[in-house]
Amino acid sequence: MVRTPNLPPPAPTGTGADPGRAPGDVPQRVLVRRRFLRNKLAVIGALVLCGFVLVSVFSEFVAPSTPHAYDASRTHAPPQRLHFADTDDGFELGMYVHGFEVERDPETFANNYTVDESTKIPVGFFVQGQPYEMWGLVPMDRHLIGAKDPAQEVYFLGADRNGRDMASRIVYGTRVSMSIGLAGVAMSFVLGLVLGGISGYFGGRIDNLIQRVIEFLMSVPTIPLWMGLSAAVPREWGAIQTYLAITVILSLIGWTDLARVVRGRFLSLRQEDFVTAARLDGCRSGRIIGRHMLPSFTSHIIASLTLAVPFMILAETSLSFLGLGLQAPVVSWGVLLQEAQNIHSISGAPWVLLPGAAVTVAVLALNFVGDGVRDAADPYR
Amino acid sequence: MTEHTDTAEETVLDIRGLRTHFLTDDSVIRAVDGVDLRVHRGRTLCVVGESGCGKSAMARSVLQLVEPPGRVVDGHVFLRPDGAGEPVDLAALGPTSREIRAVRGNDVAMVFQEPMSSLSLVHTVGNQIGEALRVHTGLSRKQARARSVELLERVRVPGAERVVDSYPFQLSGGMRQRVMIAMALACGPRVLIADEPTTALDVTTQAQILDLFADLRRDSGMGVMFITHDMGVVAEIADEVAVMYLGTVVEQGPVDAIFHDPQHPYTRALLEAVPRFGAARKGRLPTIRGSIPDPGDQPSGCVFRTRCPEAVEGLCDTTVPPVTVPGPGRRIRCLLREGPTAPADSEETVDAD
Amino acid sequence: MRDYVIRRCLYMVPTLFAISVVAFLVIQLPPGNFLTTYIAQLSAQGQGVDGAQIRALEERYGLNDPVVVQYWKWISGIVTRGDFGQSFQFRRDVSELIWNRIGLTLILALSTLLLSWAIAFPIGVYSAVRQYSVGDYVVTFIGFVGLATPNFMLALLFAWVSFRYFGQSVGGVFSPEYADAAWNLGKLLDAMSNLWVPVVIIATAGTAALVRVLRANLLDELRKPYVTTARAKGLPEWRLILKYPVRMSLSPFISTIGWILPTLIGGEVLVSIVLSLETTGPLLVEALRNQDMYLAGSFILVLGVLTVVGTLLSDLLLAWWDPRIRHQHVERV
Repeated sequence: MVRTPNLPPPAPTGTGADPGRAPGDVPQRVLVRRRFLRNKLAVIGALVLCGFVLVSVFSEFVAPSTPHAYDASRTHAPPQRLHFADTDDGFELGMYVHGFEVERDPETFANNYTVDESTKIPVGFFVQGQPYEMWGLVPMDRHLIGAKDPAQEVYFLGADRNGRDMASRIVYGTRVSMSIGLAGVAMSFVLGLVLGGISGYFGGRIDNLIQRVIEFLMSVPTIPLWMGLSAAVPREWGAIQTYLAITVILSLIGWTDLARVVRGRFLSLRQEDFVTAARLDGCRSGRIIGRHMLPSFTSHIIASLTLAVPFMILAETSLSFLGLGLQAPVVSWGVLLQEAQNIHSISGAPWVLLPGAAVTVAVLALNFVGDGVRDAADPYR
Repeated sequence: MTEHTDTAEETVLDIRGLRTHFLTDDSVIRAVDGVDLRVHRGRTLCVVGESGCGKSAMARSVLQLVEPPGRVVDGHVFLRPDGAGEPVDLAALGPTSREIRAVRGNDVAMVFQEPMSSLSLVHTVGNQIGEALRVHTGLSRKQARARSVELLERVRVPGAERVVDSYPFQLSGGMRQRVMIAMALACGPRVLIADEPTTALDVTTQAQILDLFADLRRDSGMGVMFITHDMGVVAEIADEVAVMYLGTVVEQGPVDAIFHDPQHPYTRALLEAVPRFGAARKGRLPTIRGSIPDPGDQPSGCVFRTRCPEAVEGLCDTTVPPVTVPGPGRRIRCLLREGPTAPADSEETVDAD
Repeated sequence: MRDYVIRRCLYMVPTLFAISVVAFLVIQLPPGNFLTTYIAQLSAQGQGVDGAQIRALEERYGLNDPVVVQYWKWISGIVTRGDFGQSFQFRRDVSELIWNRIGLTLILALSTLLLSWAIAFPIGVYSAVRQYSVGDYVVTFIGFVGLATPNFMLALLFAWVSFRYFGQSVGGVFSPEYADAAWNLGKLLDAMSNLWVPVVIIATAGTAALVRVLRANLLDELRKPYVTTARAKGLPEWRLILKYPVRMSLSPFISTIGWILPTLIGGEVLVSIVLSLETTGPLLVEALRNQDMYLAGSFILVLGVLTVVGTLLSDLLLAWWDPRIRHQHVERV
């Protein structure tokens, strides 16, 4: 007896339509993009992320000053509010900030600042300021925003205990923290792809071994382990060496998730009918992997990668915060937060916590984007 | 065939103009689009059709079990009580109302397709069978368990005493489906809706389960609505047949009439696609050309015209076919068949032979 | 079930071994051995180096032996005599230093676990059952923020707020009057009154993660056919949701203990440093900064072992909870 062709019964929960058929035969990546764009949070996250990337690429230009320029008379200077129009007499468009009156406390030697409403420091775009070398190559002195008079300093986000501009430091920290996240993920990606691929492809004993290693790495409290490993990084090492060492340490432990994703996808795809069909059609394994398997899980890989970056950023921040990761004079969000370890500096100058806000916003944006990509790639989950 | 009288009281479930739509972001999918059906006491109505024709959605709509974004948007589902009393319109009850809950598993019970995924794997068989009893009749845990053992014996599960305390993953597919049936029988329902209950089973087990259905229906006198896509199954157990295509019933009537004198082109095509002994080896088995159109984008006029070998241009694509009644108990939706048009909201009952 | 327990316990052996190797590596990694550090420290303090003492130490840890022998001496000392080595910074046996601290860490981690479960369970169920409701969006958003904020940031914020607005300096598990007192009801209450802050802070990240796991699992389960079956039996909606899909989605929820424990212990370490609690965190960091490696290595070893034991317990809990595992019908992914 032959039955009429019976696809799975129409899912009552879904659209009632055959879920395998895309209406109008739109290519999968167009569908993925369309679904992603429909997710408002993910789109906002992507925009914020673009902002972070631009800032880290053009840090030198975006920062109003340089991260190491200090002014002892401006220790812990509070943020100066940016005014867009002068309303004192009439109305005059133009950006400015008010100046400070500084008084030194005779007992604590701390500077007490009061806003001096009478002085106005004009602020403009593309102004001359502290000289720097763009990407370490091109000497320049133009800044995106800053005081019009190069002799004046403005602190949009306040100053730290050495009178260095927090805004500039956070901008430079963005470059280091974001890049360490990306570099760490790139390295874990290679590790995860290779080991996960081997695990899923060969199976058997090797698979078993790699799975045990992954289970082990996931069952160990990562932060103490990271701390132990980074403590072994010699103090004498230079900034670049430490940076690389920390990246390696982060990715040595962080690859496990990716490997699991890759392996799981590999295993489940291998049993899919369309892969069997391709194999029966006589496709070579290279073509099967490249043409049939990879397109159906690149989005998953992208999603996992996006979700792994914040993990790295948080790890770097935590380690540097404890003084076990990157060390000054390197500027990263975690290094900046070292200043916030002391309750007295926080209570006196709460703006030293601002790098933490940058961490939260960046991680949040990355999470939204990663979730958005995953949902768009796999709407039936 | 069981004896019966042609009175309206023999109808236990009376579905009229039922419409169930799925509202998605971009479109409205009319999964069930104006279905009229009747289930009679002690008889089996087979609803047959290809996948995606809306038969499952129709079956679930009876008990308001369609999940969002699906919703019963129009029509009536009258459940007639035993003896005297007004029929209850199930379609008018809220999907989570106390009234519909009192009907579910009590007056009307359902059996689903995949016994493995339709049973909870972490609860014992006895727990799941006895549950409906405890909800509807307030039996104690112990009484419900004893009743579950009886029910398992009734669906011919060997070693019922042992099975009652086991988990579904420890049973074979056929046994699991028997458990599903026992579950549905728990409160002695008057209507049993079986949604492709034999599809996931191998042929031998399928035959046993079909026998079981036939016996249970005969012994209990309940009305059975049996959803299937398999004409062989229809031939085996149906008293009446309704053929569904794209959310509408295109033809219905007594089983003999449908098999020996199919009227609608779709019914004919379905029957021709069934291989027969002896007739084999002469050319290919006929198939229905094309495939079911996207449910979100139904053809104008007659829904079957895009695949119909007899479709007439200028007629079938412009006019929605009315229901005609070519003979006793027969109802057809085809512009190319002669017959008196059925009166709207007719009270006539489908008559066998 | 018995077979499962035995098998599961045997699985632990290689993991425990691997942890001990990693801890030993951490001890060995810094350049030189601890003795050179020790001698350097002694001479920095202007003390003479006692040759006999050095030889005794060399003998005890087999410093002139191959690494494998050193490992063997170290691990057998721990297993047979509870001898974790010596802290140079404190000039005391490591075992004297760590147990109190680890006890507190354990109490913190456990109460955090219980708290995050207690919060995550109702919220996760609610936001899955009422998917896309306002409440769901709010919970999801808060969850995201909770995940994105480093624990120590929350601790810092908390410290700042309480200092700024309540004039209180947070920190420490015990108030001064109880610090050296023996355990009694007053001390216990005092500890609890100070501990709820770190517990809440550490719980945020874990809770956010748990809510997301539970919500995703439950959303999957809510669409499974067995839910429709239960509905078709006429069960009230909430009762059937709690009995079937919630029960099913709790299995992956229970197995999260395995990875939530490492996160909690890590978070505990960081938060304790900020709030200067007398747990493992501050001492571990100090040990690492001063390259007091036996102390640091022992902490890592004990924390690792405790996590593995925790994972074992969660697996056993899972087997008790889920008959499919109990009856060895595990679907291996």
